[in-house]
Amino acid sequence: MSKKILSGVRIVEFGWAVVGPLTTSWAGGYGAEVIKIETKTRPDVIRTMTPYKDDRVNLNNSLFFGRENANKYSLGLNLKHPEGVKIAKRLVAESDCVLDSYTAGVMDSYGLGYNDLKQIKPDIIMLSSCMYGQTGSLRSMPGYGVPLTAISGLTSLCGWPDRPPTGPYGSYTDYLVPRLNLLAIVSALDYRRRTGKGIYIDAAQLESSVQFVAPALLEYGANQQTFIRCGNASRQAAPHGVFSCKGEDRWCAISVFTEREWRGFCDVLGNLPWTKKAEFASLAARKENEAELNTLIEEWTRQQEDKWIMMEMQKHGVPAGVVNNGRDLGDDPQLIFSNYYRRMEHPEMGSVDYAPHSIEFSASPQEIFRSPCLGEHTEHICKNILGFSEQEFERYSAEGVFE
Amino acid sequence: MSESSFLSPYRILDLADERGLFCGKLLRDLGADVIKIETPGGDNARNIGPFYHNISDPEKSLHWFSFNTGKKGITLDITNPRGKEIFKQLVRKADCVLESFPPGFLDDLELGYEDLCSLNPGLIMTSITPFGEAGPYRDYKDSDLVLWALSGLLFICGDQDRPPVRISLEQSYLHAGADGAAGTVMALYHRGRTGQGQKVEVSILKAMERVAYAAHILWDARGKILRRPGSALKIPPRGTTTPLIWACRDGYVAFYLFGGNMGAVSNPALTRWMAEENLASDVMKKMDWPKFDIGRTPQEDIDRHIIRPMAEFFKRHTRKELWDGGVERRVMIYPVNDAKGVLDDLQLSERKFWVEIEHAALNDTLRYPGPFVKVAGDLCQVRGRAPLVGENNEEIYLKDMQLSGEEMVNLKANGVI
Repeated sequence: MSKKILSGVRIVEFGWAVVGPLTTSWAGGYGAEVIKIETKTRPDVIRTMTPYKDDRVNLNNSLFFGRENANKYSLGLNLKHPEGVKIAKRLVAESDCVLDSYTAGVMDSYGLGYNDLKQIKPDIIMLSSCMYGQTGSLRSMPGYGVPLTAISGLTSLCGWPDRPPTGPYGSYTDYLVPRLNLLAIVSALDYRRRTGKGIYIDAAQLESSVQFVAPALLEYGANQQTFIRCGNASRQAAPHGVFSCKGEDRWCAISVFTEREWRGFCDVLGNLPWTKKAEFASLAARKENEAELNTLIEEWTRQQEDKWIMMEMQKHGVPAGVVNNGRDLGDDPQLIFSNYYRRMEHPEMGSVDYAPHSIEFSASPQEIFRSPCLGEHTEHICKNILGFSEQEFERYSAEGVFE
Repeated sequence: MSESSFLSPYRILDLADERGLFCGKLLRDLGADVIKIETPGGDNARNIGPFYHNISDPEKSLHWFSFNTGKKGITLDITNPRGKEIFKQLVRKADCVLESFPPGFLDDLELGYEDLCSLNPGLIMTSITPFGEAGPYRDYKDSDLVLWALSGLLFICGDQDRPPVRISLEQSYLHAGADGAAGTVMALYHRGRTGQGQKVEVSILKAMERVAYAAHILWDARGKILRRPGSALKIPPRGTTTPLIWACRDGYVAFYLFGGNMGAVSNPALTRWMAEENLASDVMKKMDWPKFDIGRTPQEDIDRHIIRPMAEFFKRHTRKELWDGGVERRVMIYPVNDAKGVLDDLQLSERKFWVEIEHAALNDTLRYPGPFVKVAGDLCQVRGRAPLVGENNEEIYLKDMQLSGEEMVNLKANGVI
């Protein structure tokens, strides 16, 4: 058995909400030892966010927190206490990487900024991830996923052209930024392996997010044209949409790019007479008459089961997929095949699902373990990593350094 | 060996189509030598719009420009026997191959991971597939929209009275491309420590399921199906709904009314601001905001005393007034930017984010997003424009591989390059 990709790498997380915690959670799945520094007096906000398992509200029962914080250990530390900061520094001295996702300037105010930490550990890798980055006049503007999705241009691109934008669900960018944060961290690890040098990474979440709208930005620059949201349409395909099927709130997505796919599509519809009309004979013609086309398709799809349409379309080489809801996901044959949702026992939530990251390695499989309760590993970390004696640990506990 | 960038020592052969273009682009930003291998005549992804000056042309795709910055470009038909030999020769000197062909395609050509490893035992191969390389959907056809659908993300996006809706620019291939890049670098790091190469697989479906985070956890935690809320959030236990997107005088702004501590700064500051214009309701003025519990406030009350006055206030102001005033007063009101709004962002220009890249063939210079993270020196940079079709053929085939000029002519004549 080959060792894990990131085994031997220790990451200290000063995380908040989703971006920071999810970045390290993924690293943990690939073998990094991740220690989350958190506190009961001002808990990570995601511990206080719904849904709670069976609606039992407490700091250890948010399944939202749980899912994004698998694969790590929790150290409950009071950073307002001078000894708390010292302990954090001792831990950094024993670590490879520090990640913070606080508002710019907060780590400096604790005496835990990069300039402080590199004194203790010259080759430390530190990544700071806040909305706007560590420099510039708006650097300390607070933010979270919803506004970030709006300012990065993604919200205005989601919805119908005849209506205000709806934006994608919730904190969309929170699930984009951690991918690039993880990429930056592992790149720095390899650079350090080769050169011995540590590095500071200023990861502005906005700068990562706008990568995902790059063609629209280039289009405005080149053509002075604004890319307008267009529902589910595509410039390269028609039909290309989501169609209502038999049952309540059941839908199937269908995309027809090529003439071959169009012929397959028509076969599935039993070559209904309208499919032979000249106004649907080419992609250009179908784009021109797309509204009529979609209406005719939906007359047909409403009579069928979503799964049946997907299977038949796929059999005929047409990209199609049912619109899975939260319950359907657990029954999805492909996700079941790959053992996607991992049911695990959590001491307070009971039996809940965790999800792996999308990357699998042939020789170093990903390994998922449950999320920690707040401060669950404080004693373990202090004694086994920092080498505290029983007395030392008791003394600090009594002084309120741990919380 | 120069170590001026994160990935300077590595050469990567990029066979990926639109599913993996972003992966190679990111690795190039990080300093790897990325060679994009296209089919003779150019990759199909060059036909994805929008296009420069709206001219549909393989050398004018702004989508292609966006996700191939800095790569070298060669053409090669790897299904042709001689093309295959040339590819194998390239593999011998490469660190990594990126690909996003249908599962089994390269194996059938005897260019699969096992085959290539026999030529280069430390090789890393990164494969991005829609659903995975095994399983019931293995051979199914995908599109960005289909992946949104199956991942659970589509179901929770959009207005309640319309079908679920995606973002109009393809996203799933970018999420997976970023994961592919991270996976590739992790494998390089692992090889650096152990000498062992490996195969890296990214499932786009799995990457997208994470974006749909709320769908499965609500089912798991409470046995409830999350339905698309439009641009609003529904807060339990009463299911009180508040808007996320608000109309303003010249477009839209994003503002989320938080309860409790999360709104303890924004809410009173906004109330004072509204009061200056006589738009704050008495309920707002008297509210003990840190104790404000949206989920336990009846919908009618919140609509009448808070949402309506706020909507009225926003409608009277422009995006810029609300943003500037919000920054000054610490109220988290953000503009819903279109492309121009992003390009005008003050912070991005102060941080010198944008990169101007010359396109000699277009006799023009285009503005590109800069690097995805800011680091010292040359570690991570956007390194020039995307390649033209076969732009680096001579450099790679003649100089690097020492093929003869005569053979180049033959290869061209036979459609191999």
